[in-house]
Amino acid sequence: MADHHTHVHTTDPDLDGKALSDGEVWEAALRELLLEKEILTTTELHEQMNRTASQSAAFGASIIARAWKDLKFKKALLDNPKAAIADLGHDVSKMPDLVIVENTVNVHNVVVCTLCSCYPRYMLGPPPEWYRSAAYRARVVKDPREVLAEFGTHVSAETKIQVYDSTADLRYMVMPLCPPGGDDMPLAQLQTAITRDSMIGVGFPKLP
Amino acid sequence: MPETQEFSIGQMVRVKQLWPSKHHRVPFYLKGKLGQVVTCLGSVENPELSAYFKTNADQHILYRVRFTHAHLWGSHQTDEIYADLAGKWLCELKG
Repeated sequence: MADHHTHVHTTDPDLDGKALSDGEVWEAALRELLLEKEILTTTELHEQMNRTASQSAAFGASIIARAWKDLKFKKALLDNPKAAIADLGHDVSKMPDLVIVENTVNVHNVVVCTLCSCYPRYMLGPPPEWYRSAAYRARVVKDPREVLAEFGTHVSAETKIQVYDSTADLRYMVMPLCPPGGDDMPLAQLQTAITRDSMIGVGFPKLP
Repeated sequence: MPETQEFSIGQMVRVKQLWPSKHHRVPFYLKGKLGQVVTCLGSVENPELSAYFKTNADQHILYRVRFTHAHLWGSHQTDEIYADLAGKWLCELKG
C-alpha cells in the first residue's frame, strides 16, 4: 500500500483498534463484579497490581546469593523458606507455600507445572512465556536433558535430573550450585549471576 | 475432619487410575504408575471441591511421591520426577 494512511488511531491506548479477546472480556466482567459487590476495593486491586508488577527474579537471586554466603541462613531457608524470608523483614503474608530444592554436584533440579503453570511469582516475578507453553510442560517431564540442552544447559550424564511437577499448592524453585569463584565475590555482584532460568532449573548461574 | 496419614515414608504406592472429568490435581502421565512416598506434606484443603468454591471442602493429606524415569518412560537414566499427590489418589501395593 502507498503511504496513504487508511487506518484510524484511537485516542484510547487500551483499545488500539483491536477487538478484546474472550479472556479480556471475562477479566473485565469479573473485576467489575468484584468491585460492585464490594468483595474487593479499587485500592486493594491496585495494591495487588503494584505488588505483582514489582516482583522480579532479582528478589529470588538476592535470597539465593545470601544463602550461598551464609550457611546458617541457607539451612534455615531450605528448612522453611517462608519463615527464613520473613526473618529478613519481608512481608510473606501473600506468598504461597514455597519449597526450595538444592542442586548438588550429583543432582540437578528442574521445576514445571504440567497441570497449569504454577510458578513462584513472589520469588521470581511473572513466568516467562515458554514456562507456560504446552511444549515445555509436556516435554520437560519426559525428555528433561533434551529440553535443557535446547536452553544451552548440558547436564552431565553422571548427574541425576529431578523434575518437580508442582501439582499441588506448593511452589517450587531451585537453589543452583554456586559457580567456582563465587565465594570470593561481593554479594551484590554474586546475585547478578543468579538468573531466573537458573532458579527454574533450565540454566546455570552465569558469572559476569 | 482431616484424614489421618495412611502412607509411610519410603512406602511404594500406585496412583489410582481414575479419570474424573472435573478438576483434579493428578497429571495423566502418572495415573496407574508406581511411585515411592518421600515426604508427608500435611493436610490441605481438597482442591477437587474448593476449585468449585465449595466452602466446606474436606482436607487431604498430601504426599510427595517420587517416580523414576526408568519406570515412567523406560529410560536408562537415573532421572526422577516428584509430584505432590493427595492420599485419596494413592493405593497401597499388595504383597
